[in-house]
Amino acid sequence: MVARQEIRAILKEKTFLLLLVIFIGMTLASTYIGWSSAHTIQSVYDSTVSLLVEQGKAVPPPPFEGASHLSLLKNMVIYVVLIGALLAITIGHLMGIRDRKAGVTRLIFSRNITKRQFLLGKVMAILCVLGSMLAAALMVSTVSSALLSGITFTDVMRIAGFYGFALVYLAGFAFLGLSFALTRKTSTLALLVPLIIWLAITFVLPELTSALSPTASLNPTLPQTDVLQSPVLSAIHTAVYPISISEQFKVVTENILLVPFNPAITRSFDYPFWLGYVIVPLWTIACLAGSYITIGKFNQSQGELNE
Amino acid sequence: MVNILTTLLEPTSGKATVAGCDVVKDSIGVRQQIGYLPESVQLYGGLTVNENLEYFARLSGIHKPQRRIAEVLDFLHVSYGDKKVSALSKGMRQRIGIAQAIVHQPRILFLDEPTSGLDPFGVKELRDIILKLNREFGMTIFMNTHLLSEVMQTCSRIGVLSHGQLIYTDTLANTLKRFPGEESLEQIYLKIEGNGNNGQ
Amino acid sequence: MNNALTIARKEFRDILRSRLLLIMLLFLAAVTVTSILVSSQVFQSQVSQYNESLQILKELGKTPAGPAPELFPLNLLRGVIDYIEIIGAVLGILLGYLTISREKNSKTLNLILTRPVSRLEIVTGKVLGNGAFVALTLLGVGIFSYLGLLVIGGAALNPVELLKLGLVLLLSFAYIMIFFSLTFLLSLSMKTISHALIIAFVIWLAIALILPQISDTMDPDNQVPGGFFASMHLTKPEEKQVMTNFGNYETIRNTIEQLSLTKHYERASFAILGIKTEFNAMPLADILSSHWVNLLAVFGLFAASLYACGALMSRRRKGYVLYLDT
Repeated sequence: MVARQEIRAILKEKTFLLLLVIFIGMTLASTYIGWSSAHTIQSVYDSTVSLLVEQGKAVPPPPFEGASHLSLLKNMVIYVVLIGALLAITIGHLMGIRDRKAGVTRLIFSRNITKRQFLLGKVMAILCVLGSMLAAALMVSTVSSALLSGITFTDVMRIAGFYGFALVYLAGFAFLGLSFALTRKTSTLALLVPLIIWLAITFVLPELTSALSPTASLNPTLPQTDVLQSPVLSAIHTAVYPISISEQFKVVTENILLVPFNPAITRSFDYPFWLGYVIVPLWTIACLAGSYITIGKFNQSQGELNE
Repeated sequence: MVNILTTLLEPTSGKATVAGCDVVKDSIGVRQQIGYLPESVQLYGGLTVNENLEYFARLSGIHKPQRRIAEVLDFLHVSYGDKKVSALSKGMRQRIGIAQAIVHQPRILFLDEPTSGLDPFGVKELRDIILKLNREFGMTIFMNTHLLSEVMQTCSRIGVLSHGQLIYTDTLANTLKRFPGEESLEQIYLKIEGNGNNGQ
Repeated sequence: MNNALTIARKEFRDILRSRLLLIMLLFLAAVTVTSILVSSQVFQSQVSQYNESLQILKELGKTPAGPAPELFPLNLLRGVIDYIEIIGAVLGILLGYLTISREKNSKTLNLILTRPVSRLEIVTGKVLGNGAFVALTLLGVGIFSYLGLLVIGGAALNPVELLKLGLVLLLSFAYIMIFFSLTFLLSLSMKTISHALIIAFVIWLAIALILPQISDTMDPDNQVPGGFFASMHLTKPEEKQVMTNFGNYETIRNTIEQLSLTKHYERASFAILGIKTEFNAMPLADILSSHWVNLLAVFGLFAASLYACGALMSRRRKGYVLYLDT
């Protein structure tokens, strides 16, 4: 019942709908941009080859030979990390704050419902909404990739795998938004703290692990970095890399989509390839555990949110 | 209507003047002469009573308002000037709301549903303050209320609004004389409303 | 003017009392220092690599192909600029939001509007108060950067470099205040104020991150680590010759880039600080004149956004009251 009510309520929220439209729009744009840039670079390469042949110079092989069909989707990885995470935080925030803002908490808990059931309803609603949103994005990506690039059944499975993993990644942010919305004194703080955490995960941690400037880490083709030469950087990288959630997400999607996303970061310690497959779900479980703990502290007798 | 008279809203048609100043053409002139207590008075919860009053006093043109604030708080029997507003009860906040409305000694005081949410003791205290402001300081009080018992005890002149139209206005004394058969102001009001709806 | 200063003083006091903004400030200070630490470590590792290569070449009786890496201290501030683009913009958004949400949540906007204070004075006061805080924050970033470069990077700034740093901080002020004004406008016009915050973040994402990212994705040279044209061993003139066949594509890509306020800010800042190495030896006046479009974009938008705030606040439409409820 709680889940149904939450879903119904969020579908009426104009802000959520706007973000959803933007996310789906970016999904469509991402495939087109990926195709357009791949098509253009091929033409640029052909022009370069003509020039080199004219000059009688040797022609290097195309640097992007053997690129997967799914490389069209490399931008989608970034949009999940950016807009997807913001959307997820918004969903969690809206679902957590709604009852408090309307002052109906007392009405809800004067019914036969426990706090855990209340939380479960919200969690189910979050997964449902996020899942639907990513399912829509999956359809858009699949259809647009099929039209522009020609993909196989295996490719479709890989795209589904990517969005499935994106669901796991984004659910963590949604649960984060939910946790703070349930307990912070003001809605502003409830929204801002998860946003600051997202900033740290998306920009600060990657800078520490790969010595890239924050915005450079958003580029689908990253520059080479070598942290080995600096003992300090090397130590920071070794310590921080496992918890750099957004980077782990990018590495896993590289595996799933066969997109050569990450640069050859030279490290002193080679982490296992499956690290991201473990860390990202752990992150989500930790955020869910956080929600479980905060619901224990939730004040069910409070009236309207006192801003 | 109160929003228009306090220059918060522009009228879609017609003209209004407050203390001789046009609400549209000379809104600053209006605001220099009025005080306003909205229906649900809220102040800056994170600031103390004194800090709130100092801010509003300065915005009203009082450059060194500390003495005036002390006078007003004394008049209203407020001794919690250093307390944060967020820690005050509704009744206490209402007093501070009145304090900010009168700190600059306005000619006209607009009160929008001032008794809303107050207990009977609070209502009586507010009534005493309103009467004192009018009788001792000559302040004109414009009060918007649904509590007709308060109108009986406080007002000298009444107006009745129905569906946005002013359907009746006269002194309270004349009104009571005009409807001798009615036992209470409530009954008079219902009769006026009825006549107003029938276009009489 | 007195009223504006009264409002400005109160705004500044409210900001200093806000734990949240203090947290943002500390966060910005921490990432500034972190960024300088990382950049200086990268530079030191480049120097170590060069020295190792030099040693090997000497043993083989050869001369080095290129010069030793030269430290231009301001180059180490690249990450700081990135963080101003990101966190500085977020700070601007927060300030713009909080300045209105405070009034809406406490329903005090009506009380102020019934005072003999013009709406323009209200806007001026809020801009002044918040602007003072942003200016102080950037001054702090400047001091941290100077000390960071001195202590971590081992480099003191000369007067010209100090001037350049000051100019970039001024540009950063305008950049951050644009986001302040944007959120101020949204918060004033939207019925549910927390939605204004979300919309502001979406706009920030679009112009600060997504538009530049799309433009970078579309850049052929960006398709390969180290640069496509470098991998094809093409010189700059040859690169230009190849790209003349793709004029329309480049026009679209450039247009997308021009739409991003952040890109304008970044280009001007990188040029002034010499992060793009070709500008290291260029006189400051030449740098500024060659980037007049970027400077105009930032300062122009800054002026326009402030004007829009004043214009919106001054409007008293018939039958319309500013949304007072959250």
